[in-house]
Amino acid sequence: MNHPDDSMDNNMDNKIKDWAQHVKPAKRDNREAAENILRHLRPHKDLGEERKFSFTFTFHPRPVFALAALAVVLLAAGMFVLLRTPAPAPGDFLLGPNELAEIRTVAGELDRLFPEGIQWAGKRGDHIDIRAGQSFNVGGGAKTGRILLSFHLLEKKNNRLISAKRADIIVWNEEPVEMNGEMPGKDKNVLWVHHTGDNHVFVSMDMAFPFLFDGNVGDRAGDLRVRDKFLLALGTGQKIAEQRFREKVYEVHQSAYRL
Amino acid sequence: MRNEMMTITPDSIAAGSLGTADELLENFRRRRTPRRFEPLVLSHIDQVRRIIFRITLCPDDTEDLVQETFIRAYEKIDQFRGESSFSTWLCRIGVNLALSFLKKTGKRGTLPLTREIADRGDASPGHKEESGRELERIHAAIAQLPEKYRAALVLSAVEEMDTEEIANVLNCANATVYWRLHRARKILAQRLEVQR
Repeated sequence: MNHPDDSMDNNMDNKIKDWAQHVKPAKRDNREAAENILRHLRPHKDLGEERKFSFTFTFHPRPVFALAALAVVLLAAGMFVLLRTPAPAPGDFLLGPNELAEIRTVAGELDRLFPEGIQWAGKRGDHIDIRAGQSFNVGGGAKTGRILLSFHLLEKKNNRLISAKRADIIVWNEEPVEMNGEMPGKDKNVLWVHHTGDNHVFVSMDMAFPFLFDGNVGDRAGDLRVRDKFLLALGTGQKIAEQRFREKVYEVHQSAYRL
Repeated sequence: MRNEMMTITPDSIAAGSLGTADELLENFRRRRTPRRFEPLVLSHIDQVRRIIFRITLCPDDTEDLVQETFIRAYEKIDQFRGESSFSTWLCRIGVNLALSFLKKTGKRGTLPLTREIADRGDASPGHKEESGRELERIHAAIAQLPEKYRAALVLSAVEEMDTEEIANVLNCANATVYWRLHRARKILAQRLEVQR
């Protein structure tokens, strides 16, 4: 038995069909309409499957082999470059040119921005003496022992300090440390640490401050692996000096440990 | 392979002398040139035009939308995966264009039911007048239906598509089609009742 709704629907559909019989689009010439449409069309670029089939023959083996050969050559060249690149020495601080440039900027600006907090000792010829501030608290025994200097560069991003670089070097009091730097016209760069009393440590350099970060103390430190030694220092050594340089974008933590 | 230069006419399409819709489509897909698309246009243009016209009820814009439908179909033929018939896929493009057009332009059933349309030649003058008035009422009620309801109703009652096919054309679930048809018929019934 049909549902009453079905008969109502059929009745309504009949009315709609009746309406549709009288509401028709105007008679058109379909051929002309089709021509109008075709005028807007362009052949597809790939021209369909028939042409695709022929394309497979246009790929001659020679270009494919040439591409493969080129890939092999590039791979070999990449391997050669990698193998030729010297491995970093244990004491190398792997800073890229960009980072160096950033650090140089920081160092140059420190004096101007925070003169009272940093207390630079001043320049003597090529030397830059850095005098630590009153916050330095040098313990006993550092005068003759080795000192680990730790520089930690923090970058401010979104009001947070993010570690950008850490550089650690081991130095001996009053003994020069040769550094591999980039200073033009200089064969070598030297750094000294002067422990002049219980409350002061001077760091003097014959180089621009930033080169300290680029130093290679591998030779001077013998078999000491700076990073390992630093971890050792954190465990057994005593912090003898600490200073922080603040700038808008960077914050530099400089610490000295007695080893 | 069929000769591309053979004469194609609507009659030959109707008589099936050019092959089935599948064969025409296959022929076109083998080599996608406008000339091979022509039989597909000729075999479907009446249906596409009817549907677009009855959804938009805008005679002036119908032909443009029909043209746009076939141009899009030609350009997007790669997207046709054969999950429905080519005719259904084409209708979907046409219906989408029609609905977008109505939404964009804000036009709603601008077609006036002229005396010529309403004039029924197969009845006595008195009956003719009465059935003409009835037709005007139905036309007004259908023209006021929401477009999506009208589209479902046209595809179902006029084009006699089944629910699944309508769902394919309208890109919605079967249940949605049922609901739209139910609502459309109910609204029509109410309006026709009120107008009596």
